[in-house]
Amino acid sequence: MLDMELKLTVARKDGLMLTVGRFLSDNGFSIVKQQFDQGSGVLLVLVRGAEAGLPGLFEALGNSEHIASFESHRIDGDKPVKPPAAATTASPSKAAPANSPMREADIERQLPLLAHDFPVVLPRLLTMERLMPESQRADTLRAIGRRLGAWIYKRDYSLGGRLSADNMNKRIALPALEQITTAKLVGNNFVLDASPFSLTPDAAPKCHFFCGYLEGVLSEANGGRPLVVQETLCRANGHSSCMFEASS
Amino acid sequence: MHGVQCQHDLILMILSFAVSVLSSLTALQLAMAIPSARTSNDRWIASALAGFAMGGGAIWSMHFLAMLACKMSIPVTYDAGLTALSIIVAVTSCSIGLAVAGAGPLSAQRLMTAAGLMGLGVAGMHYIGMAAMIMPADTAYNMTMVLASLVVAFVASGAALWLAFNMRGPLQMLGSAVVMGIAVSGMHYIGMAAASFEPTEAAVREATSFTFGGEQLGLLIFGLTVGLLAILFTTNWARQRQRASLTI
Repeated sequence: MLDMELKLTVARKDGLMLTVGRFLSDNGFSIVKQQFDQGSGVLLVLVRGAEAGLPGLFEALGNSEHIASFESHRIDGDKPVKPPAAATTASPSKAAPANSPMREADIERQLPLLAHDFPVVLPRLLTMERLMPESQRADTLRAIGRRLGAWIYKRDYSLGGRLSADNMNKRIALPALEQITTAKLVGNNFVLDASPFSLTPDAAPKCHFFCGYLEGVLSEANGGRPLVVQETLCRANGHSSCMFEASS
Repeated sequence: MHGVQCQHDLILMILSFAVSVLSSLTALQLAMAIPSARTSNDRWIASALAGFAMGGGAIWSMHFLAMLACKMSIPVTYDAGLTALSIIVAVTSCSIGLAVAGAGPLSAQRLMTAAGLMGLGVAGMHYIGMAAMIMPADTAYNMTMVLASLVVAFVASGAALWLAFNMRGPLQMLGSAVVMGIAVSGMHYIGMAAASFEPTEAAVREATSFTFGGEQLGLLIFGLTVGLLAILFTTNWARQRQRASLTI
C-alpha cells in the first residue's frame, strides 16, 4: 500500500468531487484527506491504495474534463510517482505544456476521444483551444471540426436522397449542429446565440470549430464537393450572436 | 340474380397491410443505395432490387393476401399468366419510379414523375390481378371509384417518396413505409369497392396457362414475405455494423 498526494488543477468544478471520488474508488484508492483552494483552483487529495491501481487512476485523471492537469507525490518517498506515458498524452493538457503548439500526433489522439464524447465535445475542445498558441487555433480547430462533421454525417445522415442546398441546411446541417449546441437557421445562415468559443472579446471571429464542423457536414452532404463556411458575425466582436454562411 | 358479395376476413386484411408496410420498409432501405450509387450499373441494380421488394412484396403480395381475405360464395382461381404479368408490371414500374426519385434532388417534377410511375405500378398490378380472376361471375367497375383509387395510389406514393428521399432521421423510413402501405392498401380496397361481381351461367373462361388456387397463392406470398424480411434484417444488420465501425 502507498500513500500519495495528488495535486489536481481544476478545469471544471461542477461534479468534480463526485468524479474524483469515483476515479479513486474504481482504482482501489481511498481518500485520507482533501483540501480545495478556491483561489488557485487546485484540489489537494491525500490518498491511500495499491500501486497496481496507479495506471488506471492516472489514465482516468488524464482523460477527465474536470481536471486540467495533475501532479502526484508519494508521501513516504522523496521522488514523485511518474504517471505512465499513455496517461500523460491522453488528455489535451498532457499533450504539451500550455501554449506550445499541439503536435499533429496529439491532435489525432484527441479525435477518437471527441468521437467517443460526442455530442458532449465542447469541454474537451475548449481545453484544447486554451492550451494551443493563438497562431494555431484557427486552422487546427477548423480541421478538427471538419473531421467531426464528416464523421457525424456518415454516421447519422448519409441515408437518403440528394438534397437541394436549402434542404441540406435544414434537414442535415442544422440537426447536426443542434446535437452539439443550440442553433437556428435564419434564411441560409446558421445562428448560434451561445457559442462558448466567443466568450472572450476579440477583433476577429473565434468560432473556428463550428465553421469546420459545418464544412465537414455540408461537404459530405454535397457528395464530397467542398463547401466553405465563413463566420460572418461573432459575439467576440461585439455582435449579439454568431452567424455562419456556407458557399461553394 | 343478386351480385356476389365479398366478405373480408379482418385478420387477413390486417396481415395484408402489415406485409405491405414491412415490404415497403425493405424496398426503401434498398432504395437508399440508389442516390449513393457510383456507376449507372450500380444504380440500376439498386433500383431493380428495391423495385422487386416494392412491386413484388408491398404491392403484389398485399394484393393477393387481400384477395385471399375476400371470401366469396363462388369458386375463384387465378390465371398464372396474368398473375405473372401483374408482378412484372408492379416490379418494372416501381424500379423505374425509384430510379427516377433517387437520381437527383427531389424537385416537384421529379417527384410527380416518380409518383406517377409508382402509382401506375400499384394500380396496374391491381387491375391486372383482378382480370386474372377465373370465376363464374362478370366483373363491372364504378369508374368514379376507379378514378378515386388511382388518385389515392398517386398521392400516397408521392408522399411516401417525399418522406423517403427528402427527410433524415429515424421516422423517415418508418413513416415512409407506413404511408406507402396506406397507398397500396387504400388503392386496393377502394378498387375492390369499385368492383361488383354478377354471377353468370356462361362457361368459365379458359386460363391462359395453369391456375393458382388459394393455397398455392398463400405459399407463394409466404415465401416472398419471408425472403423480403430476411433481406430487411440483413440490410439493417450490415448498416449497423458499418455505422459502428466508422472511424473519425
